[in-house]
Amino acid sequence: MRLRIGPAIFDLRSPFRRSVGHLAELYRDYPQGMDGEVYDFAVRARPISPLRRWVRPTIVFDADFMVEDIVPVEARLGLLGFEMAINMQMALGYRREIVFHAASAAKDDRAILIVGDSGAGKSTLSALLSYQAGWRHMGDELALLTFGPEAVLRPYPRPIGLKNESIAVMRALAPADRFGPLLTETVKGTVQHLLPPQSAISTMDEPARPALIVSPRFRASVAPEQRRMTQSEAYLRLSVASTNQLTLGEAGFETLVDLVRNVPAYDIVYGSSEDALSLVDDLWREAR
Amino acid sequence: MSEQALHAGISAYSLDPDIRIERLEDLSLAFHRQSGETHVLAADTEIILSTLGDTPLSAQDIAARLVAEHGALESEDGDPLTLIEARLQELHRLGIALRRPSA
Amino acid sequence: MTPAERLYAGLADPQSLADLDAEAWNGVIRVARAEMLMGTLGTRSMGVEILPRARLLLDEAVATAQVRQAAARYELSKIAEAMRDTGIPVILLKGSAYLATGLDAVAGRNIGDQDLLVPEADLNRAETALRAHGWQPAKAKGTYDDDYYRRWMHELPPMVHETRGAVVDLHHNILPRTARLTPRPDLMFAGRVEVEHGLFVLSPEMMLLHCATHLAYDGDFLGGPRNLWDMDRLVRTFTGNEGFWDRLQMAAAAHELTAPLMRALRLAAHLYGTPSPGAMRGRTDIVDRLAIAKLYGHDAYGRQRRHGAAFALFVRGHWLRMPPLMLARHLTTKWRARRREARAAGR
Repeated sequence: MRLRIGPAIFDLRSPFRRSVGHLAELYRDYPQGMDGEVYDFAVRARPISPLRRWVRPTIVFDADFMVEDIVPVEARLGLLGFEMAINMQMALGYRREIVFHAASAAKDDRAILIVGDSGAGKSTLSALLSYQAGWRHMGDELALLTFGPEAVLRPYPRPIGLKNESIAVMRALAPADRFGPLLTETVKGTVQHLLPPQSAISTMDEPARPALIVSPRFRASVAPEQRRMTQSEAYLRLSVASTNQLTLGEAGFETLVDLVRNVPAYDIVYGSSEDALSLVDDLWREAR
Repeated sequence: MSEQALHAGISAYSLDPDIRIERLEDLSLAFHRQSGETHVLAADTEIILSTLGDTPLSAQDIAARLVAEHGALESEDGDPLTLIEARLQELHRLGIALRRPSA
Repeated sequence: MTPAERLYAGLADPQSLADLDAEAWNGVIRVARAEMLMGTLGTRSMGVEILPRARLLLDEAVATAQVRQAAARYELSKIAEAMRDTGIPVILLKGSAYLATGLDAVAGRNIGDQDLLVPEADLNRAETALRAHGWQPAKAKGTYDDDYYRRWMHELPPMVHETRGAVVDLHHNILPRTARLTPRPDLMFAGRVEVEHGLFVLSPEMMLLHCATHLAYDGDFLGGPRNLWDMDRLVRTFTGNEGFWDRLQMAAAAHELTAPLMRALRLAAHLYGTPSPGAMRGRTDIVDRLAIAKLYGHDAYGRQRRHGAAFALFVRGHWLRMPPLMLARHLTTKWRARRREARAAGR
């Protein structure tokens, strides 16, 4: 199948009917078809050996950028492999914008950029913002920043990868038909994808200007806390979070310097989703 | 480079023209256009760097300029001249400063 | 036409790209990415009217190559600085040489590692000089790998710069000690040509011979289309030089590299229509046919190479632990190291 997520077109193929079914279900709201278009990235699943398609089937992935034979997964987890391979194409192969390992969300024409390592709670926060706090979901894993002094974030709203405890939290907040299959015993524990609201997908060509940067950290039962980062801290944090800034030369440097000069950045620590949302709310009120 | 430095066989340093410096509110960043490397500069390094330009200068030249600009130089870590020379060597190692070899 | 055929035809005659529709482009882009020819195709196709989205992807590859080339130029200047006072003649090989000479083969090319050739007697001194300027051996001294390189290979273990991460490969010959053929480095140094920063490149005929040798010894014709493209560019650049083919023939004989040269010229003619005197090409043999099957054997996804499960596990483990930026940097290094090891082991 061929589908478009934000500015990138992917060609996905799999000989495994289950993976195809999962993909079709999860990406049902995204623009599809696009025969007769040049696509950006190809990702194909194949059995690790022809025989093993039936005997303890394991899937490996071929793709344009560095993922030949990576992420071998059990056939039942094919969807997870596709999600990782898709991410890796953008992280390593896309360079029309600066790619950050970050979530993003918008209110009107302004956006928040949520930077953090895997496991920092980006996905959960991003899901809460869109399903509880009324933000427009722009992406939970990778954020795209255009070049130049007036840089804007372009939506790349992939299904949100919820893990472990956050699945139950979001089940209470989002409609049941927005959830993908429950994937148990993965390398990340239990994973379930949450399709962003339909409105986030239909507006995925509308960029927003970054107005606030936060780096969240979840720590069970601590009091909420916030701390303003210095500009150079923010620069370093964003530079490390970028997957392609190094290959972008001076334009990438300049854009990032402008960003940290113009947009305030904060570390936030929270112990509950209520605290997280109210911290973001407070900071957003001061952002311009 | 000063005559004195030339005769004493002391290295002189200039700023690599490929370096672009951006001052942020706290520290400064040095971006090297050709290599694509970005360096974060400590405050004292930045002061030294601010005196560097196209003309090669020795540690002594720089000390003189800093004295002229800021008054007497003091350092908690020993001789200011040694400190400046150490910083210059570091800047050279990082590819920010060019070194004209000693005579 | 298969995607590989379209790619080779497009490199040789960029105008042919104007006729490609989107689905044809989708195939060509897969093969070009797999064979590291995307940036090259991007520069070759400039000025040809092609589909806008194809142009977009090609331009991205060209821009990446430009950034990498600028960084590679910087590395060259730093290498020159490290070697300046040693008096050791340093010959740049492959991509670094094309870059320093401004040869056509460099257009759109991604340049990573710097390959340097120094006289074997100066090898240790050269290593010491590089170490003093921040390049450190990637393999700890005395380990099996280190020992293997020093004993059997024509190069030292890769040296990685401690702050910039740039990689230098220090060679004392162009083929491993274990190879049956024994090119003569003394002649290479005698014929060297000076370029910028007091560094050198091989003479034109030796440069071509080296490229041809690579193809034959890279095992499985891995990277063949890229290598043959270099052949094509070098031939077209040098063929106008008075007496070039005679000198090439003599050099090939002196270094015992006539057979690999002839094969490379045959294959380059097959892929890109590279011109050469018939007598320099010789007759097609069974290995040619196998090589050609391989060179055209991409599926619609550009897939050709197969990597072992060890690499797969390595990437998976790292994707989970490392931020992607680190991953990208780390992977390219590891990836290169892995390819080199495969080559060394004759796989």
